[in-house]
Amino acid sequence: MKELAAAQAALSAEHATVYGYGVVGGRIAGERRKEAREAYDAHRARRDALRRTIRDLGGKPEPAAAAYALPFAVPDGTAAERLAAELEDRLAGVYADLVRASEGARRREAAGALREAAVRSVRWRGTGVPFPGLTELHGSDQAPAPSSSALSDGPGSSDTSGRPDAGSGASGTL
Amino acid sequence: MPRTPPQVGAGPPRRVVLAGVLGAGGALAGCSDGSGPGDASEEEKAAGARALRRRAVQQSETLLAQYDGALAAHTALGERLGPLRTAVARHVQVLDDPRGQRGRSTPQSPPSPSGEASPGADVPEDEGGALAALAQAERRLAESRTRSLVDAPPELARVLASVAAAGAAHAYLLESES
Repeated sequence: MKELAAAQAALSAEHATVYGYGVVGGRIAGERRKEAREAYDAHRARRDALRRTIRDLGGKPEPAAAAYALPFAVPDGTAAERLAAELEDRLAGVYADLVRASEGARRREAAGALREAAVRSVRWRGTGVPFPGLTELHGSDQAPAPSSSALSDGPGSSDTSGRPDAGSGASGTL
Repeated sequence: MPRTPPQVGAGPPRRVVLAGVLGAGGALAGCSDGSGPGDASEEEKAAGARALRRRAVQQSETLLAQYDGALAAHTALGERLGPLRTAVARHVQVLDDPRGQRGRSTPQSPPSPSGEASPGADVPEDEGGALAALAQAERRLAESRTRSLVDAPPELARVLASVAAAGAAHAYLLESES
Protein backbone atom coordinates (compact mmCIF):
# COMPACT_ATOMS: atom_id res chain seq x y z
CA MET A 1 0.00 0.00 0.00
CA LYS A 2 1.44 3.37 -0.89
CA GLU A 3 2.18 5.77 1.92
CA LEU A 4 -0.51 8.23 0.90
CA ALA A 5 -3.20 5.56 0.88
CA ALA A 6 -2.02 4.23 4.24
CA ALA A 7 -2.03 7.73 5.70
CA GLN A 8 -5.56 8.34 4.41
CA ALA A 9 -6.67 5.08 5.99
CA ALA A 10 -5.14 6.16 9.28
CA LEU A 11 -6.80 9.55 9.04
CA SER A 12 -10.14 7.92 8.33
CA ALA A 13 -9.72 5.72 11.41
CA GLU A 14 -8.73 8.71 13.55
CA HIS A 15 -11.84 10.62 12.40
CA ALA A 16 -13.98 7.69 13.47
CA THR A 17 -12.05 7.40 16.72
CA VAL A 18 -12.51 11.06 17.60
CA TYR A 19 -16.22 10.65 17.00
CA GLY A 20 -16.29 7.40 18.98
CA TYR A 21 -14.55 8.93 21.99
CA GLY A 22 -17.23 11.57 22.00
CA VAL A 23 -19.71 8.79 22.62
CA VAL A 24 -17.37 7.13 25.12
CA GLY A 25 -17.00 10.34 27.09
CA GLY A 26 -20.73 10.66 27.42
CA ARG A 27 -21.12 7.21 28.95
CA ILE A 28 -17.93 6.45 30.78
CA ALA A 29 -17.94 6.09 34.54
CA GLY A 30 -16.55 9.01 36.50
CA GLU A 31 -13.06 7.95 37.41
CA ARG A 32 -12.22 7.06 33.83
CA ARG A 33 -13.67 10.15 32.27
CA LYS A 34 -10.33 11.96 32.50
CA GLU A 35 -8.66 9.11 30.65
CA ALA A 36 -11.27 9.28 27.90
CA ARG A 37 -10.75 13.01 27.62
CA GLU A 38 -6.97 12.58 27.30
CA ALA A 39 -7.47 9.95 24.61
CA TYR A 40 -9.91 12.21 22.79
CA ASP A 41 -7.39 15.07 22.80
CA ALA A 42 -4.54 12.79 21.75
CA HIS A 43 -6.51 11.44 18.81
CA ARG A 44 -7.44 14.91 17.64
CA ALA A 45 -3.73 15.73 17.64
CA ARG A 46 -2.96 12.58 15.66
CA ARG A 47 -5.73 13.45 13.25
CA ASP A 48 -4.26 16.89 12.69
CA ALA A 49 -0.76 15.48 12.22
CA LEU A 50 -2.06 13.05 9.59
CA ARG A 51 -3.77 15.87 7.75
CA ARG A 52 -0.41 17.64 7.56
CA THR A 53 1.32 14.44 6.44
CA ILE A 54 -1.22 13.87 3.68
CA ARG A 55 -0.78 17.42 2.43
CA ASP A 56 3.00 16.95 2.55
CA LEU A 57 2.54 13.86 0.41
CA GLY A 58 0.57 15.88 -2.11
CA GLY A 59 -2.83 14.52 -1.15
CA LYS A 60 -6.08 16.01 0.04
CA PRO A 61 -7.02 14.93 3.56
CA GLU A 62 -10.30 13.07 3.56
CA PRO A 63 -12.89 14.75 5.73
CA ALA A 64 -14.67 13.17 8.65
CA ALA A 65 -18.14 11.76 8.11
CA ALA A 66 -21.00 13.67 9.68
CA ALA A 67 -21.68 10.70 11.94
CA TYR A 68 -20.62 7.11 12.35
CA ALA A 69 -22.61 3.98 13.02
CA LEU A 70 -21.43 2.34 16.20
CA PRO A 71 -20.58 -1.37 16.14
CA PHE A 72 -22.82 -1.99 19.13
CA ALA A 73 -25.10 -0.12 21.50
CA VAL A 74 -23.30 1.89 24.16
CA PRO A 75 -25.77 2.35 26.99
CA ASP A 76 -23.32 2.38 29.90
CA GLY A 77 -19.75 2.64 31.08
CA THR A 78 -18.91 -1.00 30.44
CA ALA A 79 -19.98 -0.73 26.82
CA ALA A 80 -18.16 2.58 26.53
CA GLU A 81 -14.91 0.98 27.68
CA ARG A 82 -15.40 -1.82 25.21
CA LEU A 83 -16.01 0.68 22.42
CA ALA A 84 -12.85 2.57 23.35
CA ALA A 85 -10.84 -0.66 23.17
CA GLU A 86 -12.29 -1.48 19.76
CA LEU A 87 -11.45 1.98 18.48
CA GLU A 88 -7.86 1.55 19.58
CA ASP A 89 -7.62 -1.94 18.07
CA ARG A 90 -8.76 -0.64 14.72
CA LEU A 91 -6.23 2.14 14.88
CA ALA A 92 -3.47 -0.33 15.68
CA GLY A 93 -4.25 -2.07 12.39
CA VAL A 94 -4.06 1.03 10.22
CA TYR A 95 -0.93 2.29 11.94
CA ALA A 96 0.81 -1.07 11.47
CA ASP A 97 0.10 -0.69 7.76
CA LEU A 98 1.37 2.88 7.85
CA VAL A 99 4.62 1.72 9.48
CA ARG A 100 5.13 -0.60 6.54
CA ALA A 101 4.31 2.06 3.98
CA SER A 102 6.44 4.86 5.38
CA GLU A 103 10.05 5.62 6.15
CA GLY A 104 12.17 7.70 8.48
CA ALA A 105 10.47 10.13 10.82
CA ARG A 106 6.97 9.32 9.55
CA ARG A 107 7.53 5.64 10.16
CA ARG A 108 8.72 6.44 13.68
CA GLU A 109 5.55 8.48 14.24
CA ALA A 110 3.37 5.65 12.98
CA ALA A 111 5.15 3.17 15.25
CA GLY A 112 4.56 5.50 18.18
CA ALA A 113 0.89 5.77 17.32
CA LEU A 114 0.65 1.97 17.10
CA ARG A 115 2.26 1.66 20.51
CA GLU A 116 -0.14 4.18 22.03
CA ALA A 117 -3.12 2.38 20.54
CA ALA A 118 -1.93 -0.94 21.92
CA VAL A 119 -1.42 0.47 25.41
CA ARG A 120 -4.77 2.26 25.39
CA SER A 121 -6.53 -0.88 24.22
CA VAL A 122 -5.06 -2.77 27.17
CA ARG A 123 -6.03 0.02 29.55
CA TRP A 124 -9.64 -0.15 28.43
CA ARG A 125 -10.00 -3.89 28.06
CA GLY A 126 -7.60 -5.14 30.73
CA THR A 127 -5.94 -7.64 28.40
CA GLY A 128 -4.12 -7.40 25.12
CA VAL A 129 -3.04 -9.46 22.14
CA PRO A 130 0.39 -10.72 21.15
CA PHE A 131 0.55 -8.77 17.88
CA PRO A 132 -1.29 -5.46 18.10
CA GLY A 133 -2.30 -4.28 14.65
CA LEU A 134 -1.42 -7.46 12.77
CA THR A 135 -4.94 -8.43 11.80
CA GLU A 136 -3.75 -11.43 9.77
CA LEU A 137 -2.64 -13.00 13.05
CA HIS A 138 -5.99 -12.48 14.76
CA GLY A 139 -7.80 -15.72 15.33
CA SER A 140 -6.74 -18.76 17.24
CA ASP A 141 -3.85 -17.06 18.94
CA GLN A 142 -5.39 -13.67 19.58
CA ALA A 143 -8.72 -12.26 20.59
CA PRO A 144 -11.08 -11.91 17.60
CA ALA A 145 -10.30 -9.02 15.28
CA PRO A 146 -12.55 -6.02 15.67
CA SER A 147 -15.46 -6.26 13.26
CA SER A 148 -14.53 -4.66 9.97
CA SER A 149 -17.76 -2.72 10.21
CA ALA A 150 -16.78 -1.29 13.56
CA LEU A 151 -17.30 2.43 13.28
CA SER A 152 -18.05 2.32 9.59
CA ASP A 153 -20.24 4.78 7.78
CA GLY A 154 -22.81 2.05 7.27
CA PRO A 155 -24.97 0.05 9.62
CA GLY A 156 -23.00 -1.65 12.34
CA SER A 157 -23.61 -4.97 14.00
CA SER A 158 -26.11 -5.22 16.76
CA ASP A 159 -23.90 -7.50 18.82
CA THR A 160 -24.25 -6.55 22.45
CA SER A 161 -22.82 -9.72 23.97
CA GLY A 162 -19.85 -9.36 26.25
CA ARG A 163 -16.39 -10.09 24.97
CA PRO A 164 -15.28 -13.58 25.97
CA ASP A 165 -12.77 -13.67 28.75
CA ALA A 166 -9.40 -13.40 27.10
CA GLY A 167 -7.30 -13.84 30.19
CA SER A 168 -6.44 -17.50 29.80
CA GLY A 169 -2.82 -18.25 29.06
CA ALA A 170 -3.78 -21.08 26.75
CA SER A 171 -5.50 -18.70 24.35
CA GLY A 172 -2.28 -16.80 23.88
CA THR A 173 -3.53 -13.39 24.75
CA LEU A 174 -1.82 -10.90 26.99
CA MET B 1 7.00 -16.71 -3.63
CA PRO B 2 10.80 -16.43 -3.37
CA ARG B 3 12.39 -14.13 -5.92
CA THR B 4 15.01 -15.45 -8.32
CA PRO B 5 18.36 -15.21 -6.57
CA PRO B 6 20.77 -12.68 -8.05
CA GLN B 7 23.50 -14.10 -10.27
CA VAL B 8 26.23 -12.08 -8.61
CA GLY B 9 27.94 -13.94 -5.80
CA ALA B 10 27.16 -17.28 -4.27
CA GLY B 11 25.06 -17.82 -1.24
CA PRO B 12 23.36 -20.60 0.70
CA PRO B 13 20.01 -21.67 -0.77
CA ARG B 14 18.30 -20.79 2.51
CA ARG B 15 18.92 -17.13 1.72
CA VAL B 16 16.43 -17.33 -1.11
CA VAL B 17 13.67 -18.62 1.14
CA LEU B 18 14.32 -15.94 3.75
CA ALA B 19 14.50 -13.24 1.11
CA GLY B 20 11.16 -14.51 -0.15
CA VAL B 21 9.69 -14.44 3.33
CA LEU B 22 10.80 -10.89 3.93
CA GLY B 23 10.25 -10.02 0.29
CA ALA B 24 6.55 -10.87 0.20
CA GLY B 25 4.55 -7.72 -0.05
CA GLY B 26 7.43 -5.78 -1.53
CA ALA B 27 9.72 -5.74 1.49
CA LEU B 28 12.82 -5.45 -0.66
CA ALA B 29 11.59 -2.42 -2.52
CA GLY B 30 13.17 -1.74 -5.84
CA CYS B 31 14.52 -5.25 -6.43
CA SER B 32 16.08 -5.54 -9.82
CA ASP B 33 16.09 -8.63 -12.01
CA GLY B 34 19.43 -9.76 -10.68
CA SER B 35 21.70 -8.38 -13.33
CA GLY B 36 22.33 -4.78 -12.39
CA PRO B 37 25.04 -3.09 -10.36
CA GLY B 38 22.61 -2.18 -7.58
CA ASP B 39 22.37 -5.78 -6.45
CA ALA B 40 25.34 -5.57 -4.13
CA SER B 41 23.39 -3.16 -1.94
CA GLU B 42 20.29 -5.30 -2.21
CA GLU B 43 22.32 -8.22 -0.92
CA GLU B 44 23.63 -6.05 1.91
CA LYS B 45 20.13 -4.92 2.76
CA ALA B 46 18.87 -8.48 2.78
CA ALA B 47 21.75 -9.57 4.99
CA GLY B 48 21.12 -6.64 7.31
CA ALA B 49 17.45 -7.52 7.54
CA ARG B 50 18.25 -11.15 8.32
CA ALA B 51 20.64 -10.05 11.06
CA LEU B 52 18.05 -7.69 12.48
CA ARG B 53 15.42 -10.40 12.52
CA ARG B 54 17.81 -12.88 14.11
CA ARG B 55 18.64 -10.37 16.81
CA ALA B 56 14.96 -9.80 17.42
CA VAL B 57 14.44 -13.54 17.91
CA GLN B 58 17.35 -13.69 20.37
CA GLN B 59 16.10 -10.69 22.32
CA SER B 60 12.66 -12.23 22.68
CA GLU B 61 14.20 -15.55 23.69
CA THR B 62 16.16 -13.77 26.42
CA LEU B 63 13.00 -12.06 27.60
CA LEU B 64 11.19 -15.40 27.55
CA ALA B 65 13.89 -16.88 29.79
CA GLN B 66 13.44 -13.97 32.17
CA TYR B 67 9.71 -14.67 32.37
CA ASP B 68 10.40 -18.34 33.02
CA GLY B 69 12.84 -17.43 35.77
CA ALA B 70 10.29 -15.18 37.43
CA LEU B 71 7.58 -17.82 37.10
CA ALA B 72 9.85 -20.45 38.62
CA ALA B 73 10.82 -18.22 41.53
CA HIS B 74 7.35 -16.79 42.19
CA THR B 75 4.66 -19.32 41.50
CA ALA B 76 2.01 -16.96 42.88
CA LEU B 77 2.62 -14.73 39.86
CA GLY B 78 1.63 -17.54 37.49
CA GLU B 79 -1.82 -16.22 36.66
CA ARG B 80 -0.55 -12.73 36.07
CA LEU B 81 2.59 -13.59 34.11
CA GLY B 82 1.30 -16.63 32.21
CA PRO B 83 -0.53 -14.77 29.44
CA LEU B 84 2.36 -12.35 28.98
CA ARG B 85 4.84 -15.22 28.78
CA THR B 86 2.65 -16.92 26.20
CA ALA B 87 2.65 -13.77 24.09
CA VAL B 88 6.44 -13.48 24.25
CA ALA B 89 6.71 -17.11 23.17
CA ARG B 90 4.51 -16.24 20.19
CA HIS B 91 6.84 -13.35 19.40
CA VAL B 92 9.78 -15.74 19.27
CA GLN B 93 7.83 -18.06 17.01
CA VAL B 94 6.64 -15.47 14.54
CA LEU B 95 9.88 -13.48 14.43
CA ASP B 96 11.72 -16.71 13.75
CA ASP B 97 9.28 -18.06 11.19
CA PRO B 98 7.02 -15.27 9.91
CA ARG B 99 5.13 -17.39 7.41
CA GLY B 100 4.68 -20.29 9.81
CA GLN B 101 6.39 -22.58 7.38
CA ARG B 102 8.09 -24.75 9.90
CA GLY B 103 5.19 -25.31 12.26
CA ARG B 104 7.22 -25.25 15.45
CA SER B 105 5.30 -25.63 18.67
CA THR B 106 5.43 -22.80 21.17
CA PRO B 107 9.00 -22.70 22.40
CA GLN B 108 9.94 -23.61 25.91
CA SER B 109 12.63 -21.55 27.56
CA PRO B 110 15.65 -22.05 25.31
CA PRO B 111 18.88 -23.63 26.54
CA SER B 112 21.22 -20.90 27.74
CA PRO B 113 23.35 -19.91 24.79
CA SER B 114 27.14 -19.72 25.31
CA GLY B 115 27.43 -19.49 29.05
CA GLU B 116 24.60 -17.19 30.04
CA ALA B 117 23.42 -17.56 33.61
CA SER B 118 20.43 -19.85 34.09
CA PRO B 119 17.07 -18.07 33.97
CA GLY B 120 16.48 -18.33 37.69
CA ALA B 121 19.79 -16.77 38.68
CA ASP B 122 18.98 -13.08 38.78
CA VAL B 123 15.31 -13.01 39.71
CA PRO B 124 14.55 -10.49 42.47
CA GLU B 125 13.48 -12.19 45.65
CA ASP B 126 10.29 -10.23 46.09
CA GLU B 127 7.37 -10.36 43.69
CA GLY B 128 7.28 -6.60 43.26
CA GLY B 129 10.93 -6.57 42.29
CA ALA B 130 10.42 -9.41 39.84
CA LEU B 131 7.52 -7.58 38.19
CA ALA B 132 9.50 -4.34 38.03
CA ALA B 133 12.47 -6.12 36.47
CA LEU B 134 10.26 -7.66 33.79
CA ALA B 135 8.60 -4.32 33.13
CA GLN B 136 11.96 -2.68 32.70
CA ALA B 137 13.13 -5.43 30.35
CA GLU B 138 9.97 -5.12 28.27
CA ARG B 139 10.24 -1.36 28.11
CA ARG B 140 13.89 -1.39 27.09
CA LEU B 141 13.31 -4.01 24.42
CA ALA B 142 10.34 -2.08 23.04
CA GLU B 143 12.45 1.07 22.85
CA SER B 144 15.29 -0.76 21.14
CA ARG B 145 12.89 -2.21 18.59
CA THR B 146 11.29 1.14 17.93
CA ARG B 147 14.74 2.52 17.07
CA SER B 148 15.77 -0.38 14.85
CA LEU B 149 12.55 -0.66 12.89
CA VAL B 150 13.11 2.67 11.19
CA ASP B 151 15.74 1.17 8.90
CA ALA B 152 14.19 -2.26 8.52
CA PRO B 153 12.51 -3.52 5.35
CA PRO B 154 8.80 -2.67 5.31
CA GLU B 155 7.25 -5.96 6.43
CA LEU B 156 9.82 -6.56 9.16
CA ALA B 157 9.33 -2.99 10.34
CA ARG B 158 5.61 -3.65 10.67
CA VAL B 159 6.18 -6.79 12.74
CA LEU B 160 8.78 -5.08 14.93
CA ALA B 161 6.43 -2.17 15.53
CA SER B 162 3.73 -4.63 16.57
CA VAL B 163 5.91 -6.53 19.03
CA ALA B 164 7.30 -3.25 20.35
CA ALA B 165 3.73 -2.13 20.93
CA ALA B 166 2.96 -5.42 22.66
CA GLY B 167 6.02 -4.92 24.85
CA ALA B 168 4.88 -1.45 25.86
CA ALA B 169 1.48 -2.90 26.74
CA HIS B 170 3.17 -5.63 28.77
CA ALA B 171 5.18 -3.02 30.67
CA TYR B 172 1.96 -1.18 31.47
CA LEU B 173 0.31 -4.37 32.75
CA LEU B 174 3.35 -5.32 34.80
CA GLU B 175 3.55 -1.90 36.41
CA SER B 176 -0.14 -1.52 37.14
CA GLU B 177 -1.84 -2.70 40.28
CA SER B 178 -2.88 -6.33 39.90
